[in-house]
This record gives sequence, structure tokens and C-alpha cells, in this order.
Amino acid sequence: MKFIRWLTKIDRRIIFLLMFGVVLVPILIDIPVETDVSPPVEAAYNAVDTLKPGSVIMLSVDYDATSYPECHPMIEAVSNHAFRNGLKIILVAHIPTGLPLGQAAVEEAALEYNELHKAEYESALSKALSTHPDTTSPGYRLAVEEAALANQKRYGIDYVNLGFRPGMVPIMVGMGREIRDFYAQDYKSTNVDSLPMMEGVHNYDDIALLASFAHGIQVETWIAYAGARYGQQIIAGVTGVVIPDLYPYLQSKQLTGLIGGLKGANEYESLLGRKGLGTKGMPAQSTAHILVIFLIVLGSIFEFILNIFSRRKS
Amino acid sequence: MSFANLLGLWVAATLTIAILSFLYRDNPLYKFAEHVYVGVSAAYVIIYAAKFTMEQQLINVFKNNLISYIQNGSTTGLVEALLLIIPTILGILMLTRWAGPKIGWLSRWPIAFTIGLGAGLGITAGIQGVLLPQVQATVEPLWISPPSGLNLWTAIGSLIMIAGVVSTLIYFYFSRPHKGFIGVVSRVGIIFIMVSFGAAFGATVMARVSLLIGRLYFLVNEWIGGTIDFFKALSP
Amino acid sequence: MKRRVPLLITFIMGVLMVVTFFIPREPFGSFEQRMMVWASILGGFTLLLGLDSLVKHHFRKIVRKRKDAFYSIVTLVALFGTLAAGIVTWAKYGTPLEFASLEQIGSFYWVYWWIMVPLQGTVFALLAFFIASAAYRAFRARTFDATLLLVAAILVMIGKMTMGTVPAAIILAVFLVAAGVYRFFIREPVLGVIFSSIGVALGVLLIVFPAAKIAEIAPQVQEWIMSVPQMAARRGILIGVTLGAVAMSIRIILGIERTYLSST
Repeated sequence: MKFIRWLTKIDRRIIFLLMFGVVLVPILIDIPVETDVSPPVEAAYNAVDTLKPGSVIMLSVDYDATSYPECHPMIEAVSNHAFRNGLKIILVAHIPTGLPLGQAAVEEAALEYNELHKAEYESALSKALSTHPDTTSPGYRLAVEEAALANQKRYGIDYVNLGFRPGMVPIMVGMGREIRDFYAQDYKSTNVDSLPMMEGVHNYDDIALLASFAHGIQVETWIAYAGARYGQQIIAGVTGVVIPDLYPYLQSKQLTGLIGGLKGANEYESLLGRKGLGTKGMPAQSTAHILVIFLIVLGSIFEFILNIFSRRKS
Repeated sequence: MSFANLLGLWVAATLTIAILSFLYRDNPLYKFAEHVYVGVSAAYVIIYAAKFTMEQQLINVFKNNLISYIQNGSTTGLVEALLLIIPTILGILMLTRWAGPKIGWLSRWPIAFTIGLGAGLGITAGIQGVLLPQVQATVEPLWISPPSGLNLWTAIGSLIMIAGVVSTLIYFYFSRPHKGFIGVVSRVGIIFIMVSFGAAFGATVMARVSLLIGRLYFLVNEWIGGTIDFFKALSP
Repeated sequence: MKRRVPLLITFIMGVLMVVTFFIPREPFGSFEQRMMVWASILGGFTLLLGLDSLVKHHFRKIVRKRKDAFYSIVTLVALFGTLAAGIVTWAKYGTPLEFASLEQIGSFYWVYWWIMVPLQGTVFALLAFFIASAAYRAFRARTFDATLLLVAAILVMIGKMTMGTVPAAIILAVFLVAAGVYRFFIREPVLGVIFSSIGVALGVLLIVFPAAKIAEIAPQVQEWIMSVPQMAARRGILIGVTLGAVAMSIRIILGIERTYLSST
């Protein structure tokens, strides 16, 4: 009994060490991951997948580095998915310390797409040169532009970063009328009207889908203002802490799809056929869960034994 | 990888280990990292406020409207430019808090503006965005006309959902003592709430463990792996 | 005067926001839009508010040579150093953010990526350790409600795993049996029977069914828990909270609730 009592009061640094170990070991070894896709993630995927090429999708960066391992793989996956399907991305942020992460995700997705289609692009360029040897001719310029449109993702044409604006709720309401009232310039102070992609994009009517990547109440705010007031279709990519709060909205269809936590990121990546941090982190996630379950059960069993023993004594 | 990025890797790894050292005990390295965090975060927010509000929402919009008035004689431009003076004044009044209570009471005006605006928007959003859709979605048909018909599992789920929503609401109704019928229903409500909190705890464990995975992944693959790659690339 | 004017402003703004919701036509529509823009601009000024107290507090500590004044120097150096990096990057590239690839970054972005991100991430990563410690030392299934909570938590955690589902489910079965036995000892035989029999049944199912089937069912069980009972309770809480928020908003607009004015 003394031993059990001692075990219940064990130095917590031993528990820290155990947690460190069960997370570190799977990171060092490459363990294959088998994923089944849950209905909310599948719904989010389909919401993006069924959009027509050329549609505009708005990504809202409502997270920061405190939720990086969960939300960042999600925005990376959705950006890749959007570019793959020929969608155009508008990036906005309500959390200032998250904007560079969103920018990194979209820019890297563009770079990845361009790298993947480099051969086709170069082949199209050489075809343009062979068809129009005079590089100053309008025909050549048009052929080059068509080659770029088909094989490259370029800032201002395929994606824009409108930057951060403080306030959150006023912006969500105001974008229902005119985006330019808040975002007259992009993150580099370039006039938004000079960006080809923004032609004809004025409010939620011109945005096919809104994807909010959040670690707090931002998704609920989007639903209450943009969703309820203007009928904007919304999907969310959130940290584990926020997942339970959003299930009522999922059931009421105010939220079209939900990517939740590292597992959600893993599921979305599996649908895309990508292996990002969402997939690479799942073995460590699983071992850590086993440890926490084991600790809960062990702690409770020791409590039961001590209680029974003290009742017997008294 | 450039030398600046290699230096960055090592700075990041040092700061990560400094924060993790708190697990052993509070120490000067942890305190150092914590204070760096405070300073950098504050500066970050200031730069963003300056760039995205002061420059883009105020100065540039004011400038463009004024230019439009001067070049085209557009009175709309002049009016828009002049109207921007009002939020600027409100913003400066907000900053009077810095001057102490003698002048700081002026900051109540912009606060009142923001609070009143938020409250007004919140009423309609709460009712239109949450209450009505959520209540509507709670009452789901048990039997849908053919060809769907009766799906037993979905029907049971719908009944459980109604029971859960109603019993939870009754549990939080404290204007009547929880005795008799209300006592039984609120007991059922507690069961649903416990399941909900348990699920929330499970999801929270997943979230927090993910953060640790992210950091350890960085230390192993990016820091150690990146440094090895850097020196491998240097060697002939 | 000091309180009446702000209360009047709150009342007018609150009422106008409700009116413009129901009458979106001009001039209400563009008035509402203008108020949204002004609120956003005001939000930008609000971001600057914390700067004064932060600088003053640390400056006082340095001047008065308090213990830990060194850390105040660290804070102010980090603050002004990052400000300088931001201004330099802004001047060089036209924006504090400049990112063509991770190989071409401005100094402000460097500070963000290599200082801000690791610090923010690691501070919150500490919580994983504290959760493990709390799971062992604090979370005890003393009552029926606590047992239910922990079982739900364990089922959700099992559903979010991609491997090791069977060992985790075995641990859960052991827990249920132990909880049942405990309930017998504290003279709650009904609950004892319920928990023990569920635990034994789960154990038998784990032996009978292959691991692959268990791994397939666990996420579905988790999904059902999240989307039915958990969702129901959460919806009840959400409705209650929203009713409270709407009531609070009406109280603020009518001037009954004035706590937001009392801090100055």
C-alpha cells in the first residue's frame, strides 16, 4: 500500500519524460499510417473539389504559431487542392501573428504547382517561340500568357494576399457589401483594382467558398455573420480544442465541412495523396494517446485501491 | 540553405529548448526566452497596426481620395477624405488612456462606439445566426417520405439529440429547484454534459499533443537534420 | 457628462446597428458600411494600447534597479529590435512581409520565423506535458459522472488514433471492469454490474473480433459520440450562452450594464 501511495505521488518530471519519449520515438522512425476519412473531412474536401475551375475561394488565417502543427498542414493541403483544381485564392487574416504562416502556405503551394508543371510550361513556351519567332509580336505574347495561365500560379492572377485588418466582426459584416471598403490595397500596398484576379470580385456573392483556419471562436463568428446574414458557404479547419464546439453547426448545415485537429489534417492529406505534417505526426499522436489513456486508468485504479483500503481500515 | 537560415535554425532550437527547460524547473534561460517572446509579440502587433491600419486604411485611402478630388474635382473624394478624420479622432481619443485618468476618460467615447456597435450586431447575429438555425435543426423528421422512409439508427440519433438538447437546457435552468420531474430531466442533462466534457477533454489532449509533436519534429528533422545537410553541402 | 455621453453613444450605435440590419436600403446600408470601416480602423488603434503600459512597466523596473531588471532590458531590446527589423524590411520591400521563398526573406520575417514561431509553439507545447501529469495525478473516476466523462474522453482519444487502437481498447476494458469492482465495494451494485459487464463484453469483443475490425469501428464510435450526444449537450450550452449574450447586449444598449465604462 505504501508503494501504491508513493506511485500516486511520483515526481511529475518522470511523467514528462515518459511523454517526451513516446512522442520522440515515432518521430525518429518512419511508421506507415493507414487513414480512414471521417464524414466531416470528406464533406470539406468535396466542398472544395466540386467548385468549378476559376471559382474564388477565400482562406481566412485565424490561427497563429500556437496552433501551427494542426492548422498549418490543413491550409497547405487546401491551397494545394485549390491550385490543383484551378481555383483562385484570396488570403485574409484576422490574427496578425498568423498572416505570414498563411502567406507561406499559399506561396509554397504555388511554388510546388509551378515546379510540378515546369516541363509543360517550358514545352508550351518553346512551342510559342516556334510558332511566333518574333518575340515582340502580340501573337507570341498571347501564346506566352496562355502557357503561363495553364501551367503557372502567379500572384495577382491566381492568388492574392489582402493582408490583415483589425476588428474581425465589422470586416465579416462589411465584406458582404464591398471587400474594397476594407481591403483597398493588398499586403504590399498594391491597389486591389490593379490585380487581375480581383476584377468582378466585390463581396460574398463572388466568393464560392470560405475556408477559415482557426484556433478560437472565429469560425462561429464567420457562421453568425457571413454565413447567416449573407448565405456564404463555409468550411473550417480547426484545432482539436475547437472541434466539439462546431458539431452543432455541422449538423445544422451552417458549416459545410470540418477538418479537425492533426487527424483531420491527416485525413485531408490522404484524400489528396499528399504526405504532410498531418500524416507524419499521426504515429506520435497515437502513442501519446495510449500513454494518456494508460495514465488516466492507472491513476484511477490506484485511487480505487487506496479508497477501498482506507474504507476497510476505518 | 543560407547562413542566415542556419543561424535562424539554431536560434529557434535554443529558444525551444529554453522554454522546454521549464519542465525541469523555472530557470534563467526560460525567463530570458519568455521575456524575448513578450517583446517580439508587442513589436509585431505595433508594426501590423502601423502598416495595415495607419498606412493602408487611413493614410493611403485619405491620399487617394484627395488625389481624386484634386485631379478630377470629385467631391465624393473630398467628402470621403474628410470623413476619415472622424475615426482618426476617435482612435486618438482611444490613445488618451496613455495619459492617465485626467484625460483618459475621453477614451470612453470610442469604447462606447465599439461596444454599442458590437452589441447591436450581436443581437441580430445571435438570433439569426445561432438561435433560430440551431433550434430548427434540433427538430429533425423521424420519418422521411419514401424512398428514404424510416432509418432506425438515424431516428434513434434524432431522439437522443432532442433529449440531450432539452435536458441540457433544463439543467441550466436554475430558477426552479431541481426536484421531481425537473430533477430527473436535469440528471439526464448532466449525463449528456459529462459526455460532452469528456469528448472535449479527449479533443484537447489531441490538440496539445499535436503542438508537442510539431516542436519535436522541428528539433529532430529541421534543426539536427537541417544542420547536417548544411555541412554536407559545404563539404566537397 | 463623462458617463452620459458614452452611454448615449452606445445606445445610438446599438439601435442603429439593429435598424440597419432590418433596413439594408440606402442611406442605412452605406451608413452601416461606413461604421464597419470606422470600427475596423478603431481596432487598429486599440492594438497599440498595450504598448504604453508594457514599456512603462519595464522601464520603471530598469530605472529603479529592481531584481530581474535584466529581463526587462531583454524585453525592451527585443521590442525595439523587432520594431527596427520591421521598419527596415518595410522600407526595403514596401511591406514588413516579404516572402518569395524561405531563401529570400526580410529581417522582420526572419525574426517572425525563427524567434516568434518557436516561442509561440513551444510555450503551448508545454501543455501536452501538463495534461499527461494531470491525467495521472488529478483525473480520478471517483463518481459515476467522472467515470462517464473519462470513458467518453478515452473513446474519443481512441477514435483519433491511427495505430494501437486494440491495446488502448484493452486498457479501457480493464478500466471499466476496475470501475465496476470499485462500485461494488462502495455499495453501488447496480452501477458495479453495469460497468463490469460492459468492460467484460468489450474485452470479449476485442478477443473475438480481429484488430483491423476494431481499428475500423473505433473512429466510427468516436464520430457518433461527437455528432450525437456531445453535439446535443453542446447545442444546449450554445443556445443558453447565446440567449445570455443577446440579453447582455440589450442591457448594454439600454445602459443597464455599464462595467465597460468603469476601467477609466
